[in-house]
Amino acid sequence: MRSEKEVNSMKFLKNMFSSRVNSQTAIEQEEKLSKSLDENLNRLKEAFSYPNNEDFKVRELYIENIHRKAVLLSLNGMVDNDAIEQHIIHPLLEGTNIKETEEVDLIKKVITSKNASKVSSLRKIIDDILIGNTIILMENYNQAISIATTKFSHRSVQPSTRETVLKGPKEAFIESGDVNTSLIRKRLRDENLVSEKIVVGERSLSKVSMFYIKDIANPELVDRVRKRIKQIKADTVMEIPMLEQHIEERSYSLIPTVLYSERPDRAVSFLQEGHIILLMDSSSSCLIVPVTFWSLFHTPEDSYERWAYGNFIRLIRLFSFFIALLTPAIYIAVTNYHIEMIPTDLLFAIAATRERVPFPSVVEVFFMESAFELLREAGIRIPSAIGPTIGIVGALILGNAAVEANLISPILVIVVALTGLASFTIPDNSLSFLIRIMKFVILGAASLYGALGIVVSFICFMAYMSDFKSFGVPFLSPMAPYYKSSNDLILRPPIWKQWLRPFYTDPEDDIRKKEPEGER
Amino acid sequence: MRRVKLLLILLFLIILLTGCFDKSELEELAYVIVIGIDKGEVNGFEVTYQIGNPQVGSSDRVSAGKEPASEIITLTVPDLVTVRDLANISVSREVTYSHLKVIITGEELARSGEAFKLFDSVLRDEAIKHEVMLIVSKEKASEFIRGNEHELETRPHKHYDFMSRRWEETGLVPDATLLRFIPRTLDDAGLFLSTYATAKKGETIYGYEDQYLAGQVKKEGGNPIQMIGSAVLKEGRMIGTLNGEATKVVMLLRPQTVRRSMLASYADPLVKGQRIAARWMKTEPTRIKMNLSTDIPKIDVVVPIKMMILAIDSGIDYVEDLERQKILKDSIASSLERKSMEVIKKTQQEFKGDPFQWYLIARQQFWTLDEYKNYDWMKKYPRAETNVKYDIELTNFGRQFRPFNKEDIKD
Repeated sequence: MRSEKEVNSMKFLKNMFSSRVNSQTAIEQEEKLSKSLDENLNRLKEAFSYPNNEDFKVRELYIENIHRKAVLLSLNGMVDNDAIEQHIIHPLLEGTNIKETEEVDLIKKVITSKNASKVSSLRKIIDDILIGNTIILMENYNQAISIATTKFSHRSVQPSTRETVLKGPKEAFIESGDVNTSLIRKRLRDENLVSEKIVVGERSLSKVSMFYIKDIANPELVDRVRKRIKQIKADTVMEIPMLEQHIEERSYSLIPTVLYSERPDRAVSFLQEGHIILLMDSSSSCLIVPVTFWSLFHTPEDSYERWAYGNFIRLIRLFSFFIALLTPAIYIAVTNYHIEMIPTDLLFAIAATRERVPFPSVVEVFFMESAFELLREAGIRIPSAIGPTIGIVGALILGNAAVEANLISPILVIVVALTGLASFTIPDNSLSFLIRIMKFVILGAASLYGALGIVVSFICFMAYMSDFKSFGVPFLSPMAPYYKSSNDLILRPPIWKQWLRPFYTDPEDDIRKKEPEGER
Repeated sequence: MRRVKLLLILLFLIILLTGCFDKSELEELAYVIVIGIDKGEVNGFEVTYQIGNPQVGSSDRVSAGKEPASEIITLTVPDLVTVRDLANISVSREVTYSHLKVIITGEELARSGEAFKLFDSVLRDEAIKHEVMLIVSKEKASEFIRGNEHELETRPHKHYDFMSRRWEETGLVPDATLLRFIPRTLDDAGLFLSTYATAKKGETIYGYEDQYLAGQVKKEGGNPIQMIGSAVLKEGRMIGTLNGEATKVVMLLRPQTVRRSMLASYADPLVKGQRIAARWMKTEPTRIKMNLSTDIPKIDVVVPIKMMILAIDSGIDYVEDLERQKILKDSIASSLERKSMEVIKKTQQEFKGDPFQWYLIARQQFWTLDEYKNYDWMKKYPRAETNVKYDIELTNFGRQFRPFNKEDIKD
């Protein structure tokens, strides 16, 4: 399996390298190894700027049984030294079953490593070294042995920090492709789960693994995403958030077209609905395409909790979605344009405290909302050692002091705190940004036109959302436009009634299980 | 691209320039809570404003020193709209009616019928809450407003809010709001009842709990105002009054009114001179049947009432005896029917109009609006033959099971 993948990616490497104009080394594509060990070694040393490049390790051996010199080449930091020691050097030096007279086949008989192949092209050898293989060159031999010994350091699997749940699995993706693959395959033991490796970047090569379930995901969609990734014209695509920006279709849009998640369980549930997952070796998150509003709005917890509880938290989040988006705008509209809407007691309380505030209420709101955003940004940037201070300072400034100093009226603290709190309930970071920015837009409209402004801007927002598409899938589907689905939208039916896959991804196999009979 | 940018900038400017920049902040407004209207001494109207002071009693953070909870000013002006600007000769903020609670009309002005025109201009001018209550005061409105000493609720809006909430329950005054007044008057088919009030003590009489008109109740202490009974308005002009009891009956006979828990007392059918106090509820609409085929309308009204007996002065045990309960029910029903017929007769003969909103039912009997208009309910109603029945259901007898036996206490 693995070697097949490797071969696949090698092809790619070749392609990419052939298209490169500024090849640093003078090695031509088709240049073969010669029989002279020294000549071969010198070519490679030159290619890797040895001895200036100290990471290029050259280990010379003498294999006694066959009376030949051999050289091991590898790049420090990319290889597993233990494995080299145990599976390559040890068998070569101590190997008793190598007989001088026979045609030596080291791969078959001596080297105990699981992946090894023969290579004869110099270019290929360099590429192999770059992905972490160890190369053995032999005297009087015009072929080299390339052994997979790749090992990068990475942390161990840890609990998810951005998408926390109370009920359900805790583990999150980490910065290792192999571990991430295992996290996915652990949950989805399906022979139809395909992982394609696509190489992106023109200078530094990185691999994107594209996961999909062959008999569920729509082939056109798979093609579309594959094409999109291959189209990327960039020097390097270092991390998955950058890949997100490379593959998204509308760069200037506020609405995200890709879901960024660090939860393998989430990735798997999307796979089963015919979505595509993208992973990179170096990133601790995955990308899910295509997305709808609902995939941004839902959390895994909604499904893990029992029907009533899951729906309860969804309703709370829906409510806070509107609070976060509209509260400041409604406050401004009501206090400036629709005074008759406020109960007289509240009106008098606001008017009494506002009497000593020197600014118009719009200025007050913008001031406080900006202060809150500032606090939020500071909370992320601040080193965690001095983190707690931000809470104290923020609470003092926003809460009490501003009111005491008659800069703002007390009710505004409630408005801003409520908006802030509500914005924290939004599960997805991109969606949260969308709402925080739209909040200011709608606030601006409300301060100019009152409720009319809110209504018009909100309608425009909704119209844009319903027109928006992520990889061909309408953003608000399957609600608008309507497609058949399990109705897992604002509320969700009990788990056993969710027998349909959403039709918006046009899945090959649209039924999860047989329709349940009757009510249980 | 440059063109697009230019267009975007222009669009943005248009949005900015067409914004409503004439808005005012909350604290820049003077909230009129009560408007009183009287006839001017020579001509025009005397308009009285009671303006609420937001700084009193609203928030602990603001200490307003010795400011009063409201300010009352009276101006003589030609209409209710221009007075808003004229008020600024002494009021420092822009006058708004957006939180108006009550419009009080002096009886003199109400009888002249000019008030209706004024309300029209108020509605036309700005957003005004249609739940504004209409009160007709026996004396001049300005005197009533100044005489209203609501000491427990220093802020006037709270006082009227609470008052109106209680009225919905007690039924001693009609539900008279601007929202109802305008369409009812424009329908031109019935009478409109407005709350009747006074802040002056009149000649006191003694009657049962609801047989008073404002000013007639003997009352010591507290707020000097009395609001009970209703002023009868026909075509926007006041033509008479109904006391609390009659008002209550009118409420009962109206098709839709549903009232919760009113207290009333009735004569004990078995012991003369004793009374029985009851809490009754009307939870269903009145059942009204009409026959308009002849020139004299025939109206059958059945009023369903649920009753809860609370006090039995005579000590007779009605609770455990179904026979007695039937007698009690019949006697209460017949007394209510008698009172209803009296009120109907009064409206037919004295007011020549229908305060019961029966015209709403009558209108349903016709296929077209023209037919209904030709029938002319206002003219036909005074000759109508009406028949009122009360359908009383005794639901319970309060928390005590049977009345105390007075014999037991004697020894």
